[in-house]
Amino acid sequence: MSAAREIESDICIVGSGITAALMAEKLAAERDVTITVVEAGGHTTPLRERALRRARWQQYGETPWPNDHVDDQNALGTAYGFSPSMNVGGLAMHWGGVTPRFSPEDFRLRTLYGVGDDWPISYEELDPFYQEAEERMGIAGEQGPPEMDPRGQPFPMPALPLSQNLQLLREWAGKAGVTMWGQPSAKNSVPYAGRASCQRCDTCYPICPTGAKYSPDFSFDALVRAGRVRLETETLVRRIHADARTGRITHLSANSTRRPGETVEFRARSYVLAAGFTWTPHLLLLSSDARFPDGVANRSGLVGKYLCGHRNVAAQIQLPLPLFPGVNAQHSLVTKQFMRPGALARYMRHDLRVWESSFGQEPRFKDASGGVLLGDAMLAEWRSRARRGVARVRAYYDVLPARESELRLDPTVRNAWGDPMPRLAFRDAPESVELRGPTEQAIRELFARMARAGDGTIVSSASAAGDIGQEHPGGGCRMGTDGATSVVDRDGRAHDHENLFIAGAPTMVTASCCNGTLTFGALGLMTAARVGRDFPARA
Amino acid sequence: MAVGEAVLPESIGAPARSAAVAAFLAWIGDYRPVSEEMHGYGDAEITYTPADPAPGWNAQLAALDLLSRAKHRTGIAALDLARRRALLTAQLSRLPGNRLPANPITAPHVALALMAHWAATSAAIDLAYEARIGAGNCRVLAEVTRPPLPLAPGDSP
Repeated sequence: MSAAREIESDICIVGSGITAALMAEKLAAERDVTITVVEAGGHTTPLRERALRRARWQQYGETPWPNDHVDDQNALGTAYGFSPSMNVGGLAMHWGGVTPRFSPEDFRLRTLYGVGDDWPISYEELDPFYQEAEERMGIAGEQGPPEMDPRGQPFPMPALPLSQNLQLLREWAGKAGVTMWGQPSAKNSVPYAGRASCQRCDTCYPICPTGAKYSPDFSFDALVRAGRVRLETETLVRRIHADARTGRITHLSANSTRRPGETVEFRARSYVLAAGFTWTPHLLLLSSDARFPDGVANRSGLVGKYLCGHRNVAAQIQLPLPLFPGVNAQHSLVTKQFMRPGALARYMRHDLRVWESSFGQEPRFKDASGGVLLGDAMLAEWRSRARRGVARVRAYYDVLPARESELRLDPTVRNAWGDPMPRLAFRDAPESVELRGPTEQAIRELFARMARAGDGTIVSSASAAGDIGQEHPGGGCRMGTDGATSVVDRDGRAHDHENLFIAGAPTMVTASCCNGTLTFGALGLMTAARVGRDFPARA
Repeated sequence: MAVGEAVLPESIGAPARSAAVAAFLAWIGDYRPVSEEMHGYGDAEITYTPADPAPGWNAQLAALDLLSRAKHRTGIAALDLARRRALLTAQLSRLPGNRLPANPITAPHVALALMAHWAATSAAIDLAYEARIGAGNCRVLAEVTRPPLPLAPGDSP
């Protein structure tokens, strides 16, 4: 084996997902620093190829993001919510672009409701970083009623217009006493940041062919072009090395995933782990040595613990409304009415989203009695069902994590270098176990009330399975003020290592009851602000 | 084309049915088996597209023709529409389920694959909803605020 290649910089960021992209952008813009970003996978599908990739996905189901993974680098166990995306852009390349904020209550659950744990930061403290994340990504949003949807500054872009479908559905929700507005999204409602406005191609997930939806590779392309970031792809960081006496991180060791025998050492003044809720705690646990036998940053024993997420209850409601699925299918209505419930006799918080739906309107080759339908008979039968308006409703609800909701190393499954792979098991805290049934029942009752208000009928209802993991997961390196009960401080700095920062999803205490991506980014920017303070401002 | 005339809506007209069959043939001709499939937000497993179904579908077409000759002493292309449909109905009635497959590649019968491929087009969806939705096409954002225009007389795929 040849000697390790050494790469030195002021700041080394591990991972190139959305949190890393926003942090690198901020640090490069504000500080006079050299930045290296290390990514285990390769480059993603460039924008110029996305229309073609979208067509192949539409026609054949081929992934628009081929080879966006490292073959033997995968998680085991209840991995729902985890996708083995390893490429520039990370899992955000599979992202639909939905960007709700958490609500102020999320940060004070113990104080307000006596459940879960408080965060060491408040919503008001995170608000400027939410705003910055929204401006860096480019978020089009509609201001909801301020008492439900507090924010310090306006959205950077006007809202995506509500389709006729969503206008009708908003009116219907209002009849049921539910106030809804357009879901904020990282999709250009007007040209923004050199990218065109949305053309409602209806494939935001899995791929936007025009670049109207933000994706992290756009940030990295610009940073690399400007010489502000060095991006090392196909390089898997496998160990963090800390000085036994001071605890300071001295270097990271990595291997090329293309040439597995080739080793690389990354040396920096500050290190940032922005590799998501799976690979960040995995790397910390892998990095155990004689001085840190339980892994790096793990004096508390909480690395890999308190994995958090949420579940959902969903339904399809048939309504006497002229709805046309496919007008702008991935845009939805949202409300925070149930995320900000005020005083509660029994804890329950959830979001609510509403879309147009084509449920039950798929083309068929047999009629209800089993007779085969061909030609015009097939089309006529399809038309008869297409005339029914259907709304899809879905509520994510809070799940409070147990300490034993965890990621651990599984020595029975190893990668090419012999490193054990992560095994995940999501577990609810006992209080959350008790709340699950009543919460799901209350959400079903809400759906029934909404159906009645619109003279509609629930035609399908489902709850997310509880044993396959959780949605929009985070945690594993949670933040807190006490080094005995948390892994990092409010800025994402490891309690045990002064020059090691953990950014975004892993630091979350709880995962709220809405999509988490914007919060991952805002937390990352808060961490970037702290990292940046150790370096001179950019002239 | 003999199958296309039997299973695709006659109301769309012969040129549109021919175009749908041609599009289907071009589509299956460009199929790549064992391509990496989309792995979703929550999926940890990498899966690959299945084997090329074209040889099996061609065999079904050949068998249909043999069946036509055995029953009617002429190839399926020479049968009238009612007899063609009777042959196909007998085969399709034995298949489980009632939905056209969302992914035509997985269709167990060539007739279903053709129907499903056509039904997935934006034009077919417009016909089903009797409105110019243009699903799956990139379109002007501002127009979403109005209901889609109704189909004009003569609109066809």
